[in-house]
Amino acid sequence: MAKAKAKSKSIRFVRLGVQILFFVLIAAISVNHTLVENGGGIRWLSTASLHALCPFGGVVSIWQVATQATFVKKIHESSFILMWIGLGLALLVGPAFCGWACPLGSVQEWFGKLGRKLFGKKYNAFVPRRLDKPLRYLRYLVLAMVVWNTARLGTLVFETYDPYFALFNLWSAELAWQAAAILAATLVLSLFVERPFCKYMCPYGALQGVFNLFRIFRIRRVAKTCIDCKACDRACPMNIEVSTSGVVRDHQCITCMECTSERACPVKDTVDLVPPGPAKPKAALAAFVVPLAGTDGQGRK
Amino acid sequence: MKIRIVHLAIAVPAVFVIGIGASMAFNLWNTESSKQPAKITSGAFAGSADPADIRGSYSFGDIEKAFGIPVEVLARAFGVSAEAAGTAGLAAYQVKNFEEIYAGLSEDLEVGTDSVRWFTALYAGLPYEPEEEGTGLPNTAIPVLREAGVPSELLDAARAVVVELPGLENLPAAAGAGEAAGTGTGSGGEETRTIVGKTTFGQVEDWGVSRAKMAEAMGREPGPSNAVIRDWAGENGVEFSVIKEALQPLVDAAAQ
Ligand code: SF4
Ligand code: SF4
Repeated sequence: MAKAKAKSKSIRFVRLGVQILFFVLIAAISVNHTLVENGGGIRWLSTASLHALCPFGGVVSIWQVATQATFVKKIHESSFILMWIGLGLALLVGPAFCGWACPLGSVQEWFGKLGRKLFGKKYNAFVPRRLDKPLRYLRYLVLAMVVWNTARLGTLVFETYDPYFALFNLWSAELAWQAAAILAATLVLSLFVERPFCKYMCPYGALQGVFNLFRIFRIRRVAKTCIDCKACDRACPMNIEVSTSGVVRDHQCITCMECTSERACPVKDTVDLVPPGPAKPKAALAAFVVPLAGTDGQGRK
Repeated sequence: MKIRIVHLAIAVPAVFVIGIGASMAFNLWNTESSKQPAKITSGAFAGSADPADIRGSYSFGDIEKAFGIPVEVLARAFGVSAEAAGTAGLAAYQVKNFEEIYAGLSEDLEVGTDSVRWFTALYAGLPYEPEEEGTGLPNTAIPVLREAGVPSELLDAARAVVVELPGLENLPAAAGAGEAAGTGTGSGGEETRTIVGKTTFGQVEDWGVSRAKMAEAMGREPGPSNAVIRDWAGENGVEFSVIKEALQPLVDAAAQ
């Protein structure tokens, strides 16, 4: 049997460090944008608007770019480039954007740490399976509605409801009350459920999630060395049952690496991010359609 | 081979840095509006830039680029002096300024972004209905539109919503506006060879397009050299925009 190994304590701060880096960068640019509009600002820092730095802006503009060769109002070339970078990354390693870079994902996670302190083991296990399972597909509906309405109206319809935009525009006149309310609800819910917006509502997370079906590097569990302790299941913020998967193809994985042998799994070389073995397309499809079959939707059997 | 947490910690920011850096190197990274208006999608003007898409962030320079209306003409029409434009110059002067500087000039009319859209449409011979009921045009725009050959019924509609601008003596001299025979824009300057309402066939010939080429593009003999293209089109039952669309590419090609 493979041996349990001592883990480096500092490894838990590595992802946190990257998340803080992205959060601070986006926050600083947003503040600078407002300052510049009011005649101040820092010269050496980008003054881009939040729309210009949002990869999802590129996604919702696709129709207008294809049919009219112009961008939806407020969207620029940079959103398109970020979209391609995000999708390229997703093709390689899955939704690492969500697990490592997205400031809204990070802030939900940080609120979640407080929730974990408050509720202990109950945290992230409040939503009954019957409700949780279908709700996880809601974000695809949101994605379809946003893309369709943006194409139809030629304006950024999601801006009014976007908690990510609200997060970095709390001080701005552009802040819509709907977006502020959704942000507030997201943060409160984060005290009970890990990443509620990511799981149920985020249209960009939905698009990124699809790449879990055919990503090149994926999370793989080696059944031979697995001791079935379920530490990986408990660590997964998205309630994925890693302990029964060969390869994790669940559409909700965010490549956070929390389940791996470097973090939760106590056995060396048992859960890792690895390049592909032989392809199993049927398994990929099944993973999308019944991602939580056999569990209670919270990773419990 | 496996990817470790540290590898991802380096790879994720690196992919963004490299991707953004490469797009900057190829001049593709742009975080501001391209100021490229949407195209009109249907009707006789399909394919032309749509004045309705002009936004407050557009500068005079952006409008010149998209609609071929010289910066000086816009400045004259909207009463903007070179001093008022500041060191950035008239080309960088943004349309959204009007809402602030012309606020309160009239009780029921407003000179703002929608006024610029309407003026642009009138000047360039494109369709546009003002979006707002109270959209006005500055008095300074009327002579500019008249000189550009805007038909009298449209000019009358513009005259009905004129807002008097204060301090007109400070306006920049209009660089020979309306007199230049060498341009179709009514404002002088070789660079702006755009067919507008008052352009004659003779001017198009002067710009290097032979009558034979015109005939080929239009599918019929062009009018006399001294005929204003818009008037000739009206008399011959052809849409001005159709003739413009046929001839403008020849003018552009001849200029290169
Ligand atoms: S699912 Fe959406 S909010 Fe969550 S991390 Fe991904 S992009 Fe961000
Ligand atoms: S813990 Fe593992 S399975 Fe769960 S989201 Fe993170 S990487 Fe994916």
